[in-house]
Amino acid sequence: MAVLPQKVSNKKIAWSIAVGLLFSTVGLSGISRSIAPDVLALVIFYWALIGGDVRPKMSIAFLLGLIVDFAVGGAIGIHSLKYVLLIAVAVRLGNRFQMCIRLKKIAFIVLTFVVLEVILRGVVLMFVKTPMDIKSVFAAAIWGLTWPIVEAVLAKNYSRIGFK
Amino acid sequence: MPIATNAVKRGKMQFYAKLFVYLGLACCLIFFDLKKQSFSSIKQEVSHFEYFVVDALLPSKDWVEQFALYFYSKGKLAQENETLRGDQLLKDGRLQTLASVERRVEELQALLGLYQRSAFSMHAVTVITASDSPYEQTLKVRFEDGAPVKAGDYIIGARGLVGQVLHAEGVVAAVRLISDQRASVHVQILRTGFRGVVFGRGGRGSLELKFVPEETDIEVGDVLVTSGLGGRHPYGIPVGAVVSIEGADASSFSTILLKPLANLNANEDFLALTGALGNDLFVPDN
Repeated sequence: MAVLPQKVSNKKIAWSIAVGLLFSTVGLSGISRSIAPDVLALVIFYWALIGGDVRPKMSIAFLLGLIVDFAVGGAIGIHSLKYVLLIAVAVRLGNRFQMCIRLKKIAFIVLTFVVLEVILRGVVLMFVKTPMDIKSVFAAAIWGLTWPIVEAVLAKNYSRIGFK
Repeated sequence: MPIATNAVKRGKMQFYAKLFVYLGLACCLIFFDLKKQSFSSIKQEVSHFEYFVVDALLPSKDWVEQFALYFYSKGKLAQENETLRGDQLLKDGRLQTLASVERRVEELQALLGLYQRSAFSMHAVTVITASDSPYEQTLKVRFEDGAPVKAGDYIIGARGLVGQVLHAEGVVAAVRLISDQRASVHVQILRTGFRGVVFGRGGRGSLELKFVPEETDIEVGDVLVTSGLGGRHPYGIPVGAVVSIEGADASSFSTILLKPLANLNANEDFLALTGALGNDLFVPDN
């Protein structure tokens, strides 16, 4: 059982996932899509680690990945694979993650995202012989560093403005 | 003794089974997409849909941008207006100060000209207080130590008669303005030479020429000056100009109202006529 810092509602998780999906599909203006952050991946990973019993299900993550794949126009299934793996990592290592100090948490997140990016690139390479885009791996590491911001935004209590 | 129960083991098994199913499914999708191009038609449809959505949203995006620009410009304009209004107020204040200084300089220059032109003995006086009561139109003025200012002396401005000294003590004198209800000045109409007495009406901007028979030749705009009768005061100091003439109803006298020519309210510096008589004080043309 994960240690919950506060009671998390399904509504809040749903809203944050919807916003993450919007960012991941539409993209951020001024940032190339190859190095743009996968906000949805950060959100899903956060709730998978923190959410405990209400964490997003694997099936939901798979479907969200498919939506992103179709919207972005990349290889179909790549984001599904990514999100399912994130859920799996969170389920297996979530309790240990809760007990780490902040620096270790960030290191864990960065490492997870980098390894995942390498795995995904490797899977793509299995089917299409294209050179690996090293920029995306660095970008994944950099966006992993934004974890404290993601944590601060998602952990904040928004009940005063109507979100509970 | 087993560490994990069968339920926990089953749960783990289910989790891994589910994971492998989804991973397998994802890998299959990747394979079919990259190797067989199975989803190219769906991707094309989705991209068409995206273009359609973007096209549909583009006008509203422009509208939102224009809307934002409008409010931004409005806010900026309001801010600029506020700044300009502040500047304007400041400049208006400065302009008014300048105009006031200019008016005072002109007044002083006129007084100086009067002083230099006339053979009559004069001494400068400065207003220190003024009565607010409409029933008592008086000033207190200060004059140079040793100046022979005494009761009965006329106080004049650059444009005409202001009042008369009631009493003087030390360097301060009390002056009754010509607009005071108790003040009276013997005058003469410049155009016709008709003589009469002007009385104050209590309001600072108003005088009245009393006891003028209806048949007297007098017109609006006629200038009245001191008559000089009695020998104590000079002839020709402008007192007022006629502003209205009304026929008498019950009596045989007209009601003639005058406006004082000297500015009784605004000025701070006047001259006290303290010396011998002379008729060249005011030139009638001026």
